[in-house]
Amino acid sequence: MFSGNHKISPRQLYRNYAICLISLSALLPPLVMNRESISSIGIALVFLGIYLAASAVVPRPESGLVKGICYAHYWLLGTMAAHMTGLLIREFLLTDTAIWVVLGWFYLFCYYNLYKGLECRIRVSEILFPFFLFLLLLLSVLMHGEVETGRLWELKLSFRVTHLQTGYELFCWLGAVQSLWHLHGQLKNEGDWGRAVRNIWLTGAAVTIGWSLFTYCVYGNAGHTGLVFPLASAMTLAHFPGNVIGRLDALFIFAWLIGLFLLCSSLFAPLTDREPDRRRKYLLFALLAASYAAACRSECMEWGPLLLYYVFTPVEIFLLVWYGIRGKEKKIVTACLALLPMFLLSGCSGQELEQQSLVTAVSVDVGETADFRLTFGFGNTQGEDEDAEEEDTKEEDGKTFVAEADSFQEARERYWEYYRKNMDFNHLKNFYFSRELLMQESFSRLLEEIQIHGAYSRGTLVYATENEASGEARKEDQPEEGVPVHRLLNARYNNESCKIPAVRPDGRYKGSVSWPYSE
Amino acid sequence: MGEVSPILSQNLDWAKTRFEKCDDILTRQVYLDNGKKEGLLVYVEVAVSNLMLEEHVIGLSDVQPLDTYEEAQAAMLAGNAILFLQGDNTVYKISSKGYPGLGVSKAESEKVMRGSKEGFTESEKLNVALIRKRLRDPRMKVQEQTVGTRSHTMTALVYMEDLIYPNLLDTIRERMDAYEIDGILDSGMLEQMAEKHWLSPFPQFQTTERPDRAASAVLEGRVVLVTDHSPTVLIFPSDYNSFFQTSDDWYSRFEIASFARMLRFFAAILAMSFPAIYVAVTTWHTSLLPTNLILSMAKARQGVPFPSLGEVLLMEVSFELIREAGIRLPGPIGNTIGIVGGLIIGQSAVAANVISPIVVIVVAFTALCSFAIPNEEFASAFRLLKYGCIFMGAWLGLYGVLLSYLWVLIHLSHLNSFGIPYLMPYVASDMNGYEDERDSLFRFPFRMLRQRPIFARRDARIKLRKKD
Repeated sequence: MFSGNHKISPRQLYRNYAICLISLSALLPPLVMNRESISSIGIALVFLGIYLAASAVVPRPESGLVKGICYAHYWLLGTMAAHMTGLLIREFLLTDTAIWVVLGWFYLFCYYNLYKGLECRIRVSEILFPFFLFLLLLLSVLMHGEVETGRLWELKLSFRVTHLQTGYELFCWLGAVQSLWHLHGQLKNEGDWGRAVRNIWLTGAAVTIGWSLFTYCVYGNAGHTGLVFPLASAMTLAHFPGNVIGRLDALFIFAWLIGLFLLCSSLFAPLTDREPDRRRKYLLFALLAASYAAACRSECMEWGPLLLYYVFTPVEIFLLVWYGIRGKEKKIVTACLALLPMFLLSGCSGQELEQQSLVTAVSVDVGETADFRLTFGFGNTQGEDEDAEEEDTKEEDGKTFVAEADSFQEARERYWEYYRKNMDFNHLKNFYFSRELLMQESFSRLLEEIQIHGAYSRGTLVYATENEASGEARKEDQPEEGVPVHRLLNARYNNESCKIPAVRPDGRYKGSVSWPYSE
Repeated sequence: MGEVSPILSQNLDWAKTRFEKCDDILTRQVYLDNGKKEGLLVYVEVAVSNLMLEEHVIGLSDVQPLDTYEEAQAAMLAGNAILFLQGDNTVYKISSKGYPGLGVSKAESEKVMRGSKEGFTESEKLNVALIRKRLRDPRMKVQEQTVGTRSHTMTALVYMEDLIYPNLLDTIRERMDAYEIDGILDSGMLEQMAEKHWLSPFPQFQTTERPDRAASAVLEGRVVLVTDHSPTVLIFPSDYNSFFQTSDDWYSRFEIASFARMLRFFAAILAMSFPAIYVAVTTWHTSLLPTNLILSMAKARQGVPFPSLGEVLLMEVSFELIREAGIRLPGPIGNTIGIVGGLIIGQSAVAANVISPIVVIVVAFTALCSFAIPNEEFASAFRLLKYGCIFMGAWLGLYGVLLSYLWVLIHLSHLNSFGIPYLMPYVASDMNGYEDERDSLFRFPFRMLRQRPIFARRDARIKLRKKD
């Protein structure tokens, strides 16, 4: 009746794949970013540009075998992207939730999106694009105080074989947009194809470089070492004006999830992007189920990249060259929401607010029976009505909890044994380290734990105390002028010194202590 | 300018051709001077009463002679009768009381700050006349049809002949004829029968009680379906965007209209997900809230016997009960129930520590948001989906809320209304050269809205141009 939309528009194509590239560039390039790796990122982008340019002129393959190989490539990439999505959700949104529950829902919605066909999938990405972009830009802008642009002068342009290798590996990931090859011929006006692909690459390149530099300006040379998602961790430093919203990393993950969802949908889509029939829908369901099973296992990140780097990407490049010489063209599957009841029975649930103890400050001193003496200060009133037993190493005054332990984890476990409540570190504002502790070798281990466990390092500030640190955690009003913990971590990796604001024995915040400690 | 013919049969041919498919315009042969003089009356059915014709045709003093067909047509569409006489090349305008105005009730559910206050009545004839009153164009066609084997309910399809897609009428007739039903008592029954995606909670027909809104839809190339005994007419095709528009969007300045629209969009999102976000944040993502706020919320929750999910559900269901009771009870009592339920029960529940005060705020704010959506049926869809969102939020936190959004979005992306993507112009707006985006979330200044939306035929989309 009306002008049909069975063909997609250049804008839809652009938005769908730009969103994929933006999500991937927020995920991976920051991981490899250091003082000299800008050349690796450049190499990856050049490879990607060449690849996309080639896919713009080479017709889509039609042979079933070739399409099968391509699809296996996309399937593998989609599976690994889904696994990373699961980790991201578990790390930042649903701590302690089983990954199979998280991914179960993710795959279910992917299937639902793909089941509805190309038009629907493309429209979903088209409408989500502005929201996605807005959220990412907003969060980046809110980071303004934490980005040290002066660090950009530290960057060096160098070229080594390892850079080439890293660049190639990065290209293999960013090459997820290769799946747009299979949409060749679906555009309303084929003349617009080249321009749309060029715009996708330009956007991807700009955003990849942008995120990489942004991460470097936040973390420096190696400050993000050990972090699984450096950019997500960096977003914990973003603060909304007026403190209307607390930590914004959850919002960032929210935006990022949109991107990763669309990325995975695009990678699994080529099967259903033509006229979907029942047989293909069943096949799609089976393939998604297999992908789900693989993504739930962490081993997929061991064999997956190897297959990607050394098998599928080279094969895909070969096919592109082959079809570039010969020239030919392009097909899919499935149904059933059978997994739904299983997820509904999974027993995943949240925790009530009153069941959590919000830690606002942690003081660490040198321990007597263990490496550390940790004092946790709480913001809420838990423990006031409780009759906790007192032991030699644990005190309980309603506002603090003291434990001698070798790590934070051990102290948390001990707290659980006493109160049957979880410590919530999402509102942790300050760490207080005693000057004596800074000199200990074990302090490095403590920093490592802080680095690895994102909840400790999200926007937390650090102070050094001249005397015992434990008293500081008891204070109700916590100061907000300390040094961000990531700077301390950064200094540790770069073997640089770092100045930590000092708390004098009389309680005044005056002067600073240099670390690594030197008199 | 066409001169009026002195031959009556030629005038009859002119009227039949000119007002073809206009079932609201009648022609009637009359005889004057004791049957010696033959004449032909042409008039809009509701605008000219039969009584007036019988009593005043003969010996009228307030007649005005007209020379051309164009003048005659304009006079007739203005609500007067026109009389042709055999052998006379003049046509006579007979003034009538015109279109219905007085006695027409106000639109109850679509109130506006600016613009007409008229609402549709329960008579199909009168409702068609209220649209005709606003669109005095012979290209506006009215096709009547009875539906219901026992009720024989009169329905009328009102449309602009040169603007609609030709097979749109066939499609709607096919859908209406697809079922045999004993009685149609309201347009809502027709709506449900004619919907393609009948499992969806989102309406695919727009409804209105306002003649100006219906007239505006006709001008956009859409079809209005008027049903006898129903003050609500159906408009199709419809898209997501049209459910957020109100009549005064076009009557107010563009800045104000755009602001109001953005507010409504925002309200729709919150109407669906605000309680879910509350549950997700308090159970999963406490870090999103400033420490002081989360501490005071934790304090407020102390002693409350239910989990956050239970609290929110309890309050939401209570609110729905209050709303339902308020609608069923007579006007003044209904208002009282709202106050009693909302204020007294809420406050008592907080005082008794059954719920925390913040939940009252959340539920009240959500209710406000749902009332800000102009279309009641559309708002109901969001109200219903809210419960799914709440469960997902409680179960999977913000991840669950995001999944709920995705579900709704995928569902809406798949929907279409008579071939138009439901999410137009936020998706696929290239179908109309991105013109529809000018009247979507933002309303561009009026003089920049030069084209009709996608509903109109491709070759008839220009609606505004500057005069040379």
